[in-house]
Amino acid sequence: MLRYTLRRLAQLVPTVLGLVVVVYLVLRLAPGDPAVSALGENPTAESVARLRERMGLNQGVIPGLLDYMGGVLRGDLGDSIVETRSVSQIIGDSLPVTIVMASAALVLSVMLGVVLGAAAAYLSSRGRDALDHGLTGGAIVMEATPAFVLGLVGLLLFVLKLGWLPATGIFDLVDIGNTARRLALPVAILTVGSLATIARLARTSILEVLNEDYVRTARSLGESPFAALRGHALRNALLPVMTLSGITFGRLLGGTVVMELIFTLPGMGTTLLKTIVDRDYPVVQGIVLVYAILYVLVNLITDLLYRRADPRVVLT
Amino acid sequence: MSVAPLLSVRDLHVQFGARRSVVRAVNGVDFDLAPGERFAVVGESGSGKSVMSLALLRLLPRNALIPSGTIRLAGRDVLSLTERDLGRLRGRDAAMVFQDPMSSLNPVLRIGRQITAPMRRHLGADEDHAHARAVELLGEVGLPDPERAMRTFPHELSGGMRQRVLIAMALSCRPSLIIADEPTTALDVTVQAQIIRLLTRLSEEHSVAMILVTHDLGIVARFAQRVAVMYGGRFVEVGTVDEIFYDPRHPYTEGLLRSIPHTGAERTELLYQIDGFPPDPTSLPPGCAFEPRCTCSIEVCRNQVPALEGEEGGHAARCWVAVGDRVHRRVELVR
Amino acid sequence: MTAIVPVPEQVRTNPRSLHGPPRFDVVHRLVANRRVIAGLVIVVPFVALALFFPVLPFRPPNASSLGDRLSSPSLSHPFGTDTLGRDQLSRTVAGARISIMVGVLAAAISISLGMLIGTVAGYFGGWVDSIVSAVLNVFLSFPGLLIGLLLVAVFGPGVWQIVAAVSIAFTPRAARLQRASVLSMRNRPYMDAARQAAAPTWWILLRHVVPNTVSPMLVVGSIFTADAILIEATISFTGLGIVPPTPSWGSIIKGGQAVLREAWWISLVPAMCLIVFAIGLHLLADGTRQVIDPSEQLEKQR
Repeated sequence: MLRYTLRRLAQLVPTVLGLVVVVYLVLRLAPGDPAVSALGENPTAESVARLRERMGLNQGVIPGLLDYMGGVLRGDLGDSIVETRSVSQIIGDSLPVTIVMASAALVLSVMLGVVLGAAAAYLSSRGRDALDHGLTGGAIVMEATPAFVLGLVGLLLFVLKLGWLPATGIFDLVDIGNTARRLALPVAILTVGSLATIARLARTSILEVLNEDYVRTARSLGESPFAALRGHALRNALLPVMTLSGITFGRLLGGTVVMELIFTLPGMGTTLLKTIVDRDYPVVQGIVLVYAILYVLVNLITDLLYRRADPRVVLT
Repeated sequence: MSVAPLLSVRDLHVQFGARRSVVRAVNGVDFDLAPGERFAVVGESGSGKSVMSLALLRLLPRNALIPSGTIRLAGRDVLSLTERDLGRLRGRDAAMVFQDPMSSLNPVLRIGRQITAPMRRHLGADEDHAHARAVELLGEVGLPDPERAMRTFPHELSGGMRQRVLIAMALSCRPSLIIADEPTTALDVTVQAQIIRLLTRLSEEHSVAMILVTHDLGIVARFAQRVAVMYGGRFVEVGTVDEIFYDPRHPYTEGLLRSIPHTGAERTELLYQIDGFPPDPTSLPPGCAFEPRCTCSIEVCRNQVPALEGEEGGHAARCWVAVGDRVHRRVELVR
Repeated sequence: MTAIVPVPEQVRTNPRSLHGPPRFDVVHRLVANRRVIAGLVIVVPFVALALFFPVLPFRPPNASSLGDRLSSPSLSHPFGTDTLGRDQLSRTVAGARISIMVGVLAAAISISLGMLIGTVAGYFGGWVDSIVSAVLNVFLSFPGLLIGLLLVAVFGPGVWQIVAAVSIAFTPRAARLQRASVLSMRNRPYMDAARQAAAPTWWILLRHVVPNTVSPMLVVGSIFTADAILIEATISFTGLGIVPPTPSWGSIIKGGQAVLREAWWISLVPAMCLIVFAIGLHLLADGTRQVIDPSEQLEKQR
């Protein structure tokens, strides 16, 4: 297990480099001159040339790529061409909000999802399928509803009409109370969007496990239904849920971008949209890269947790 | 019976489904089991033997129904126990060993954890005591290096070894009865013999009564003291192992015995088989269930279910036609 | 966002080669399936409206009438009007036209490209597969929306730009599905037979591999269309992608955000259309999958 972990961590490096390649090439090989677009209307040839030099556009694609890669490995993501700060600084300022939102939503969706799924499994096994039908319907609707629509509905209902939660104003992460109030709704919305799917998967897995022979063995030796659920069903049924969590995180990251937009939160999403409009390409590059790295990291963690929980998997 | 029976089953019926087609799996089973006795129930697939064995500890699936009958185990009425008392009964007074060792253990938990669980639950044993006893049990059932086995996962063991683990688990809380439902069917032939020998030895050494459910007459001979032959959800013949093998009284038993291939037969001799198929449990005939396939049936066999006749508590058979009166003929099978 | 599509396992021989296409039966079962019917009931009207929009008696979607600004739904304006007095009903239908077109095109392109890449990777194996898989894995490490945003940042705003962006974003997913599909088929007996008969590779690919992988892709196509529409709406909502005055469901919703409290219908009506249409597509996909996946049939018979 330790060896596998180290090997996976080592695999991170080529994966991240791969991400870097994609991000760099997409922006570099795009049509048009980034320097020209960045400078806005009627830039002088001189300022364009200066900017191109600064952005490293005068080198060939490959040297530029290698340069950037080296920078990334050192932690240097370049400098913004619109502001005076470095890309890392800009990202560093906006990262916390996004991470808090996305992680909170993931943890909540998984925990609530498993509980709901277990409840639905228990009820179904007693013949009462109402919760299950509700979850199925909910999942169908949530999978067809984009996060921003849910966000707008939440905004309309809880902020504009009912006035329960604030949506604008200064946001200070350190102020826990304020943070909680500002993030409560976006996190809740993101959670609701993923909840039903996870719950359904949990329910199906748990029911499958409850029908397994080893649960029958345990029951035949006197284990109560509840103990069987806790000791056997949950453990085995959670394996698919773990896999789904990794994928869900990707969806959640996308969701945070629109949540930040709707609820005016100073996270990476807001910064990303702003820098796209400003044509501040180095920052765009860096932010997309960081999003991808976060996704890869979370998937790595869920994969390691899965392997730890299921000893049957051969650690290749 | 001179000693009070450990297990007493009367008129047990088990059925599945309620609406259009009811599957009548068990149709009136009676027997007593003495403490320490080894009892084998033999029958084809669909005879109801597995269902009956599951019913004894109420391990049937949700759609099963026990419309009538009583099961008394260690003085308690099993069918009227609460879930909680049932949980206390299972594993402690009686335990089961199931057919498929490959899937009967939780793949993600170590053997040690699974085998000590019943002891911790029923006997209140602490971790160390349970561990020690588990190692002892694993040694008794023939696992090499029991200490190491405690730390392994099920998939690291062979089928035979897993079955031994399951037997050890069944023994762990010193039950007075072990019910083994086809414990060797999923194993290699050589391993089968070992497991049966193991069960016999454990029964003798620990005075544990055992019910062995199987379709294989061959393993019955070594193991059992008494045998019941089951067909169509009923016992059609009951007796000691010698009585069944040397003095079969039911045509079905005779057929089963004749079907056993034997060494020394001529190479060109065809294997005997009983013509026809087991009855459809959703539509059992009104009379004897074996009648459609029987070569010596008479009119009454078609209309009335024969009672189990014979010496009280001794050799009995469920057949209208006395052994001496049987006239065998060719059977026209109605398809 | 993408459903995991099961690949039919039971096909021991290539049904097209031996028995001729059993298509008749499939069509019959498709039409009889409840989910397919429900899906069609939703999808067909939308598509019909979108298709025939230009010749239907709707008000011009871009005609502003400042006197009527922000009116709530009424007889003359069943969906109300927006900040510039434009009729929301016609804008919503016009938006449907654009959104659905973007969705279908993006799904079609990404699936076609994906099938090409996936078939090559899956069939040829070896270092070709290793390289392609590595590239696919890298692309799939990006959350879907973010690749879309990145590409739109590069391509700029506009309908064709977003079609391109979404197509590229979805291609790796399609490629991976196709690759898995091809891998599972590669070692079937009829494939060995074809190879032994010295059939040329392109023939094997065209005649055996592709036709048998098409049916799972049909299910995927419906789901991809739904996902593409949702992503386009999200991207347009952020202000990139399709921008006003061009109506797409996403851009209309965005337009309504500023006046959400007073005139919430401007945003919510196209949002409802979006959700319902996506549900319809999912139902269609689910029903089709039930019909073409033999293992599902077995489940039903039990």
